[in-house]
Amino acid sequence: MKKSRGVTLVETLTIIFILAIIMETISTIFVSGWKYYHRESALIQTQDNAKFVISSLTKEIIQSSSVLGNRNFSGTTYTSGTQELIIKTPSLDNDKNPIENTFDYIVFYLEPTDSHILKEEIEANAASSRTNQTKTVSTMINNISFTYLTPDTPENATAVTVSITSAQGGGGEVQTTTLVSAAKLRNK
Amino acid sequence: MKTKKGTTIVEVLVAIAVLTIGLLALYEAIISGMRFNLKAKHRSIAYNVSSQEREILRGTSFASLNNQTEGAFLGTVSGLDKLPQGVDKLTIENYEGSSDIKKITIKVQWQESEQTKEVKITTLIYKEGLNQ
Repeated sequence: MKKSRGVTLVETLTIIFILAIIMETISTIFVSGWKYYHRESALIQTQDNAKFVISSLTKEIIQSSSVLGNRNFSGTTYTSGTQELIIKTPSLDNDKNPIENTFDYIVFYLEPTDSHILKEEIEANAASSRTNQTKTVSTMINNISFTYLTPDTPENATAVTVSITSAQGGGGEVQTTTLVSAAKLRNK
Repeated sequence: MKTKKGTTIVEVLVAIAVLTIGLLALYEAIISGMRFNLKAKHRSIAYNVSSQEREILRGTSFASLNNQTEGAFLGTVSGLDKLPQGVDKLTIENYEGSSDIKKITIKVQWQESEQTKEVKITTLIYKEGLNQ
């Protein structure tokens, strides 16, 4: 019987060499896969967020009866402009039907201490099914811009254009999604 | 008795080849996932561009809604430049022969992997409606 002779140095080196090349390829695929995963999840989050913000805002604007120039909400005065929007909207009863000559007021504004946070404060009439509350609409705002149409002054506007840019970091870069939509005030 | 010989280099190479094929398939999945994300992004941009035009038309006086076929949008919308070769097409026509109701077809088209993609919104606008 032939004696088993073990592994020669050359064989060992060859194996190490081949393994090194293959491991490098595999690790490149792994690392870039990881990076893409984080990048794409960030992108999906920004898209989701921008869509959500646009639909929450346009839903309220479409129902509203006018844009207010400024108004005091629980001690803070807000002014409609590119960064803030105040709307006057018919109060809704428990069946979600509008109550005549009764209004709720809603302001959308960026948190002064953190401009990534978009807040919505509702000041509801006692008869309204809405309740007084402050909600956080989004925490991923990179830029928000309201423009007022025909005329371009907030007080007389008949339509509002909303532009939202959501941003989220992932995979070593920042992903952003910008969506622009418009809403005509249906109760003006 | 024959001695146990462990793993041969051929076996190791086969294992690595199988692993590599598996990882490449995984990589393909990632790439197509990215493609779908981009498609979804284009579609939501196109939808929002279309709804901007719809809202602009709701605020346009009825008398200015002249019939046209696949013409340019009325008013200015933003976001169209974020689509690859984005095109706006607006069709205004009388609805069932009545000049008091206009049928509005808003289309946004763009190019994606050598195909034309489209988002279409159709609505009716009445003479005595919101526009007045």
